[in-house]
Amino acid sequence: MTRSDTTRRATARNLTRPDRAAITLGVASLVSAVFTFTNGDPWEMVTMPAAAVAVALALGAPACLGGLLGRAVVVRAVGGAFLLAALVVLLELALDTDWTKTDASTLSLWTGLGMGLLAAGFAPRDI
Amino acid sequence: VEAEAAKVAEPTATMRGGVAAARVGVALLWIQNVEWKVPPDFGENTQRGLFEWTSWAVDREVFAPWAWFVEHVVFPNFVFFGWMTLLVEASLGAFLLIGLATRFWALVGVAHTVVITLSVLRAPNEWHWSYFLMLLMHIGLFATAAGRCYGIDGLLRPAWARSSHAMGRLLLRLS
Repeated sequence: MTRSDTTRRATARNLTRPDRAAITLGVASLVSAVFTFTNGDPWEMVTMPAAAVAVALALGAPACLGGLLGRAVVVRAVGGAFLLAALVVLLELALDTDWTKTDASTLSLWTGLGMGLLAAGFAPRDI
Repeated sequence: VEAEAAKVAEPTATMRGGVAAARVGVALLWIQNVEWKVPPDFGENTQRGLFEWTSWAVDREVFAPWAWFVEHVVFPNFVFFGWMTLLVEASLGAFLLIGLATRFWALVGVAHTVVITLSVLRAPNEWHWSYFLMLLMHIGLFATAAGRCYGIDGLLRPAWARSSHAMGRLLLRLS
């Protein structure tokens, strides 16, 4: 058995349910970037312009890492950042501006990811 | 024997995965369709978008009291109702996606689907079963407590159950 195998098995063994939830939500964020390649119905489920792709990748990766390393504080920070990004979209909608080219579908996705990551980050580690 | 009987009665991974897939699918329905609820006027000035679809409740009446409500209450306050629609649909997408307070949001989905159905059931080129299926899907999410299958509800219900906090007890009931 190599050193990396040992590390991998130890990491997998120590993942708690909140860690796995954070990884799942991080992966969901990374996967959401593919919607940038879709255009209109039926496959454009979420509006993902370049700025939104940058957010999805920049926050999805640390969410996964936070889960993999069992760092709840990282997961909480990413959750908060997603909610902040959602708030920016909401303000854009309210002020009728369009500098990020996002819309309410992006708001909905990021609100969900933010709430989910905060829930995973604040969840007791022994469940 | 009892332990064996309890084991075979437990939901399998396939069953739980199917319920989770249905929940995420319905969330994507709301996420995709909140996109065309566009402030600040929600189509009122151009008679398009949400305004046009809401107007079917009056132009092609489904239920007389609802048509009266839309004409005399919704239209005079259309921007307010537009924002309510946007926020409810964005929340439905967000909370059903992650499976948090799922039973509550499934009931919100039932109520919102009834509102939509009463407005657009007789709109041109609409398939009535679209709305009946939406309604049945939300009833299904409520009945199966779909957030407990690979959702945040399933993750946090044990913690909520042993919590003495009012919020924890509330979330236990809503999930």
